[in-house]
Parts: sequence; structure tokens; C-alpha cells
Amino acid sequence: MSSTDTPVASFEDVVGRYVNLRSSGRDQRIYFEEAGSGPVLLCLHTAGADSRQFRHLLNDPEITSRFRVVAFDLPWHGRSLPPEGWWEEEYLLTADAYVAIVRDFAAALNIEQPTVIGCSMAGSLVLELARRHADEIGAVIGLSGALKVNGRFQDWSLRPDVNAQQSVPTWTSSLMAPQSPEVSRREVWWIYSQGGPGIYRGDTYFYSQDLDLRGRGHEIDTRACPVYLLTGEYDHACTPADTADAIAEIPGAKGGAMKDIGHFPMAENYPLFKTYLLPILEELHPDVASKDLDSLALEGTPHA
Amino acid sequence: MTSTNDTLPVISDVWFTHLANAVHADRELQVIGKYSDFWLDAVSPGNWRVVLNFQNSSLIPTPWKDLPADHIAISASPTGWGQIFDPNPKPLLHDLLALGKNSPDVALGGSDVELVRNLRVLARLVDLGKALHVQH
Repeated sequence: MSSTDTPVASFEDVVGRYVNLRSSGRDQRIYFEEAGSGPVLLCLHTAGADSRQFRHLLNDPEITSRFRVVAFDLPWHGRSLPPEGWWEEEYLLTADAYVAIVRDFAAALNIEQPTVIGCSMAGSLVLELARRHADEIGAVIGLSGALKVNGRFQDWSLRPDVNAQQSVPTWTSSLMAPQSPEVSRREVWWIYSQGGPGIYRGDTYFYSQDLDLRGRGHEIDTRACPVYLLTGEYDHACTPADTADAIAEIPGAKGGAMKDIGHFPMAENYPLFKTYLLPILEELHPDVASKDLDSLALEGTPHA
Repeated sequence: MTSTNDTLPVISDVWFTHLANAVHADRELQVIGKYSDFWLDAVSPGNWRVVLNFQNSSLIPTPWKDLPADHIAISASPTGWGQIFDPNPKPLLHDLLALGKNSPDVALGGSDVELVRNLRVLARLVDLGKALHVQH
């Protein structure tokens, strides 16, 4: 049965599942997607968004032939529902709860020594992960992350006379590079338009209020857990200068500014972001870096 | 629409006429602006001032005296207005919000709530202005 004479469909290799776990004393039903095999790249989405931001990475055979890419939706985000009782509380993400859910999710999937890739608030979170649990993490790659990011926590998105469904995504779209492909920039906007009320604000509580690692960069042992920080030059929330300050303060940290890209590199311009990501992955995993791509299947599986 | 100076290369009565026409012809603004109603006070101190009302997907010329207390204000020098509508902007000067933070030539004022409330339409207006900058 088909509505067209020439039905053509393709299936992506990305698989989505749910895992039930307990974190910070509460039951959580967490949605995640994964693809590929090899060392794990554990991907953490931005404030107010969800794991769809990593769909290009999940669908890149040059990556998934060498790595197992796993991306999950934080509680309250995407297809991960908020925990019971959510209607009686103000959502404010804390560093303790954020670190806990990442560790608990990894434990539930028996993931060991992942390379954790986080963007925006997660770009800063990975620094706290490395500081607290360097022995559990293979490496961290922080995108748009810094020791302290000011100014993102604001109350207006909860006002009843503001349509946060439109204003929050436009507010965050401002952080992208204008030359990034329009279809990708619009997709970032769309994902943001689907965030729950107060969730972007609650996430930025962590990003701009709760986490402040200034003066503590020396507590991160990059020999135990290598740290890479990359920030797009069009990012005016976490600027390249903010990230440079972090790199300077964390002994052994690497990275810098990404040209022609903004705050959401993996989502707003994946092909360009990939040129920055691959050298890091090859440095971290030289054993799988040179794998021959000739035998790889093309993206998706044709299905008539 | 009232302007005290129509000789600036970027902003003039003629330029705003083109912008109003572009709004009318823009399919996206016709969709997203259908229920919008806000006021914009655009100023180049010492040069000109333009008051506009965006209503029902149209940009309407308006006398200054009709400007309500709740409005969006953009004040910029000629250099700043050039930055706002620059189709090839430099990093961190590429967007109205970025310019409000980073450019000494651009100041966002008026009601912050009006700004965020109408940000989607306002961002599209700026995009159309950038396209006009290329054409004219």
C-alpha cells in the first residue's frame, strides 16, 4: 500500500530506545539514540533542546564505522518525560543533578570510558565531569563551553505574555553563524520551539548561575581525562575569548575558535564542524582512526 | 513614516519604503506576522528618527506622536545601522542581539519584554533589511 506510484524509502541506522533508571533519587525514563560500534562518543545536547541535535553525527558512516555514537535526552527534554511531581516544582538544573544523570545513564548502558561531547551548557558540564570523575571519562570535548558563562539565565520565557515557543528559539538562533546552511539553522530553531515551559531557563540556571569553575581549572587532570574545547567565532553567549580563558586555566587543555560557525556546531553546520572534530578523534583514538571507509554502507538502507 | 534625513546611504524614506514593500512580499512574514502588533522607534541620534508600527504582517508608517510607551527602540550611529543591515557581518556583530552587546554603535532600548515578545518578526525584518542592503 502506497500513496505514490514509485515508493522510495530509506531507513537510517540510528536506533532509538528507552531506558528506565534512577537518578538523584527519582525514577527517570530516558530516551536515547545510538548508531555505530567502537569506542563510545556520548553526546550531550544544549540547553532547552534534545538529542536530535546530533542526528548528523549519528548518521555519518565515517564516524559510526569507528565509534558507537550515543545521544540521550535529559529528563524534561525531548522524549524523556519529566519525573513525577514536575507540575509542583520550578525546574532548575544543578551541577550535581546534571553530573549524576550523565553518570547514571552511562552506568545503565554499561558505557565505560566514553569520550563525552557536550555543547553549550553541556560544553561546560564536561569540564565539571572531568574535574569530578576523570577516572571514569576517556576524554571530553566541550563545544561552546567555558569555566563561567554569564547572562543566559533570564526569567522572561516564563511570562504568560511572551510566547516562549517562538521567542526562545529566535533568541538562541542569534548565536549561529549567518553563513551556516539555512535549513540547518531553521532545524535548530524548530527543536528549540518544542522545549517545555521554563526548561531553557532552568537549564541556563546551570550554565550561567550554578556552575562557576573560575580558579578551579587546575583541578582538572587532563592526563587522566584529556580536555578539548572548541567554540564558534560567531558565538556571543560563550565567546571564543571565554573558551580561551578556560583553555589557559586548565593545564593541558587543547582547542580554540572554530571559524565560520556559531554556538551549535554539530547541528548548524555539521560538515564544517566535522573538520574540527575528526582530528581530535584521531588523536584520541589512533587505533580506529585510519579504518578503511571503502567497505562502509551508504547512509540509510534502501527499502522499496 | 517620518524621517529627518533621507540622504543616508543605508536608512532613508526610500529605503523604508523598500522595506515595507519587502515585508508585504515576504511569504514568511505574511505567516509569522499575522498576529503581531508592535512599535519600533528607530533612531540615528542627530540625524534622523523613524517610527514604525508592524501590524498584521505589514510595516505601517506612523507619526512620532503615536508611539506608545511599550515599544522597541533601536538607536545607532550611521556606522551602527550599517552593521545592523550588513549582509556580510563580522563575528559577534552579526545579529541585532549580538550588536546590542558588542557594538558601541548600537543600543537596544525601550521595552525588553516587547523585544523578546516580537523577536521572531524583528529578526526577519532585519534579514529583509540585509537583503535590501544588497539590492540598493
